[in-house]
Amino acid sequence: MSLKPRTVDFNQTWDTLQETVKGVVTLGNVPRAIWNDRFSDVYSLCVSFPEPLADRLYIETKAFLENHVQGLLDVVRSKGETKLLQAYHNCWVEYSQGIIYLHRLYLYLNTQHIRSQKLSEAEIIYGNVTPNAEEQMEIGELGLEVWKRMMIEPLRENLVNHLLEEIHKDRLGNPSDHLIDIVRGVIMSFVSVEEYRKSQSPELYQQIFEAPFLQATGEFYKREASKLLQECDTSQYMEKVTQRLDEERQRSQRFVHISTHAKVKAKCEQHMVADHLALLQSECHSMVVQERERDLALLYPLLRSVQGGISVLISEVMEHIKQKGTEAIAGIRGENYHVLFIESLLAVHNKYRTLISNVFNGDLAFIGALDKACISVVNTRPNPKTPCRSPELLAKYCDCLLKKSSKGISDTEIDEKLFQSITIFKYIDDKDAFQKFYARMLAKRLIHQQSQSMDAEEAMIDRLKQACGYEFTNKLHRMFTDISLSTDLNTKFNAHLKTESIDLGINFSIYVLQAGAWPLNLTSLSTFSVPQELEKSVQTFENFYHKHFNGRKLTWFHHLCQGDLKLGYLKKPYIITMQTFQMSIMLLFEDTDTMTCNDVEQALKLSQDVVLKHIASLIDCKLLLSEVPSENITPESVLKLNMDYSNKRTKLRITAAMVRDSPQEVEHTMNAINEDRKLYLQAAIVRIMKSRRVLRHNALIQEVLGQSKVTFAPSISMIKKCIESLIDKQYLERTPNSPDEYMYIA
Amino acid sequence: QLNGNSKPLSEKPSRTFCSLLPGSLGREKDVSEVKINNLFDAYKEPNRDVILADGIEKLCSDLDLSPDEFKVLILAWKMNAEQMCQFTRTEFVSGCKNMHVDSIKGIQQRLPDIAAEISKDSEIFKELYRFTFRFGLDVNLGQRILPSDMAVCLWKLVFTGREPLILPRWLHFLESHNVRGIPRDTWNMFLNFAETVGDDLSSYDDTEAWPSLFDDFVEYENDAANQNVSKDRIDSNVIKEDS
Repeated sequence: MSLKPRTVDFNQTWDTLQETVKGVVTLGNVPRAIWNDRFSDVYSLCVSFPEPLADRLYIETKAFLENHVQGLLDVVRSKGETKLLQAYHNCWVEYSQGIIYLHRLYLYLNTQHIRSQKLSEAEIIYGNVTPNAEEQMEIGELGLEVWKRMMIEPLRENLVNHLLEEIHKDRLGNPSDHLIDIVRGVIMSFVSVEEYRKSQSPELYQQIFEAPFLQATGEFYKREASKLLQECDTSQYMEKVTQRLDEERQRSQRFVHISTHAKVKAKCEQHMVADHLALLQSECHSMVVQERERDLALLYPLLRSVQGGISVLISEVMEHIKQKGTEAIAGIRGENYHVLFIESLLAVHNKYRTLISNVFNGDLAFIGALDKACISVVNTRPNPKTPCRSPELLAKYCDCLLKKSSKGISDTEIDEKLFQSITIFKYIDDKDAFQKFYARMLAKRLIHQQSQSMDAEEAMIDRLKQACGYEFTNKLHRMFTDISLSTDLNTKFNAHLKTESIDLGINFSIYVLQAGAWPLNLTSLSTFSVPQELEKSVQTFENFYHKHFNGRKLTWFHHLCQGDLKLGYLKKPYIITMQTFQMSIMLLFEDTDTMTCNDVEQALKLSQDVVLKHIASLIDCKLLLSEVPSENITPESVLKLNMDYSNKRTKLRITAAMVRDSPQEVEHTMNAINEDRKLYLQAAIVRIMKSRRVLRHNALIQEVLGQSKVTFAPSISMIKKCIESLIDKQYLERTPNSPDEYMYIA
Repeated sequence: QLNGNSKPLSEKPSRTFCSLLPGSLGREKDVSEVKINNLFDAYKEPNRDVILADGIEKLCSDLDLSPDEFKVLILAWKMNAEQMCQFTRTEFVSGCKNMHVDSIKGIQQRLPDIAAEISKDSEIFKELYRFTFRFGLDVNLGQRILPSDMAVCLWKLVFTGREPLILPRWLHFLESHNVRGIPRDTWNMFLNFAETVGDDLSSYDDTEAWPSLFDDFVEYENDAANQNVSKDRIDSNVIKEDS
């Protein structure tokens, strides 16, 4: 067979071709050979000589298809209303498949003749040409177009009514099982019939089916909701609604086009949730307060689906947690206040953290509410005049855990508790206050060697660093460095003693601490004349130290020191660990058995109240005797060495005379914090103004708040006072044109 | 009036410039530096070149004024006096030249004019007001903050004839609370404060850039209005100046 264009008798060729076309469209048996011949017939018609017959072929084919579909329509109609869907579907399945084959048979016509007439997409988009309505379509599209025009159009109302009817039955729970596939097939035929239209939404489907479907859906669920509301209480209602929504989701997947799924969901939510939002929200309060987890778990996804619906629940949850938190810490009293305080808060936090992840799917908005509630509880001040106690209590709590005394719990447990305490730490506004308290307690632990484990200490500081940054833990780190440097120093000093063959007469070790890093108060130092027995050690060490670090000044903190004293005058020898001051008093009794408090004071050159306090502590542990009880001693009281002292243990530590955390000490810390804050704020203001030059009052306040929130939450009035004081010191002035604006003075 | 401007001049006024101007009043030509100096000599301390309290008292009585009168404040302002109860020769001479007077009578005539100008022009008053703060500081003590009692007196004085509605309550607040002193900014801002609030503290907005003493004042007043003055609350908020 030649591909050369030749003269073709159209009528004759079309007659044979038409036979095959019919066979193809009705999915009849078309042998390969015939198919091939017809395929070339299409070709010959398109390229025929003297003029191509393509257009004629197209017109004839169109007429044939129209005729065919008309025939099918009659068939469908003849089956009657009840079987309409089925009949339509059968025809559609056959026809649509047939059209696909036919499209292939007309390949040459499609690709060479029709496509070449088509405007390219670029032309459609950029070239202002409106597509010609009479334009020829590829055969596949043509077939579908004919179907749409001649089959769907006349039947559409009946079809859609039947479809909606079937879906309605399905909703009521008695679906016609055999129809499920048919219903879907019919619905999808509305989409498929337009599949040649590129990248457009299925218009026909939306127009003839989706719109009435959605409306019916809306009405159905509107009725359903009011019916349910009459029958059930809120939790049953939510349960039913949840179930309904789920069913409807599956139903969407079963029947309708994917573009409709979200719309159906929105409709259902609109009528079953949004329309009754007020009712659901009004139940929030009692559900939250009674912590009805199941109800809340039902309520959460419902409210979430409605714009702005969830906010009521969130704030209810927040208020509830706040309430519970406040209750948890309200009743706490007694010695263990700090432990109970922190652990109660943690219990509340953990409880609601779990609840949120179980019930609210860990929704970040609820986590945010939890945080807000906790921040509010943690930072409550019992009285607006006094500072919040949480920083102090948390520091104490950590102190308890890190101290040697915390018996009965394992290391891992302690570690876990410390880890938990960071949770509370993050909620604290006044982190600087915590830092001050923590530093003071850490200093005590380090100096008095009370730390349970250095690893635990360091791990804790690392956690604080992670939470708050290097600057925050800088001083704490330096304290650690001092301790380890001091170990080296002691080794060196002992080596030095050996090489120089100096005998101090006692064992001696020392911590050298940098002035800036340790929260030690230089002003609390009292005069002290070091006992002879210790003098050599002090002297030798000072010489040694100054040789190594020229120009550094050493200040001795005798009140923080301790020593082991061996008592040889008793029946058994005892080794007693005591403070240096206590030891110095005991050493005075080396040469005598009695002396007055006054004598002690003279000999040691300590202030009177310090001496009396320490003497009292020695009387209390029965190393010294006096005629009056320890709390009544006066400078004139006579002290006697107790020659009959006895104790079950031969090695012991006596209690120090130091007062524990006195209220003054806390107040002192608070004042120090306030001073630091003023400096911090002033520095921040100057920094900001230096870079901005001119800034309005409120903008400045906001920037200062932003910068300081990492460490503490300053009051506006404090910032204002700092601004005033900077104006006064002439770092700032108000700009001439506005009293509300400040200017940096270089 | 060309030279009646409010600027407390420290530079010497240009005589030629004045005399060349048409319309300059005749008496300006008559101002004689010799006469002014003689006037100064009449009041100065016998052995020091300065007018002190005694001299000022005498000057005031010659001017027919009481030393604590508003006009005396104007005089001091015009002289640009460095501190109270003292005029140096330079201050006195340049002040008189600035006012174009060289006699007691001249001063007496001139002061009401200036007072009238002040009451008309609020910018001029502002100059006087700001001068008053500096004037009240004790230079010898190196004061930068006006002691509260002094501030109260000066406020009463400077507002002579134009007393703001809020002033009595403000002064009462200062007197009844332990306020240590008034910094310059608070003094200057009081003028804005008085203008803004009038008699009605409800319009006060503490988020604006007011010095914190006003916050305390308004809070105190509002508490008082609510019949539950908590006195020690205010006391704890009282300015504590860190120097």
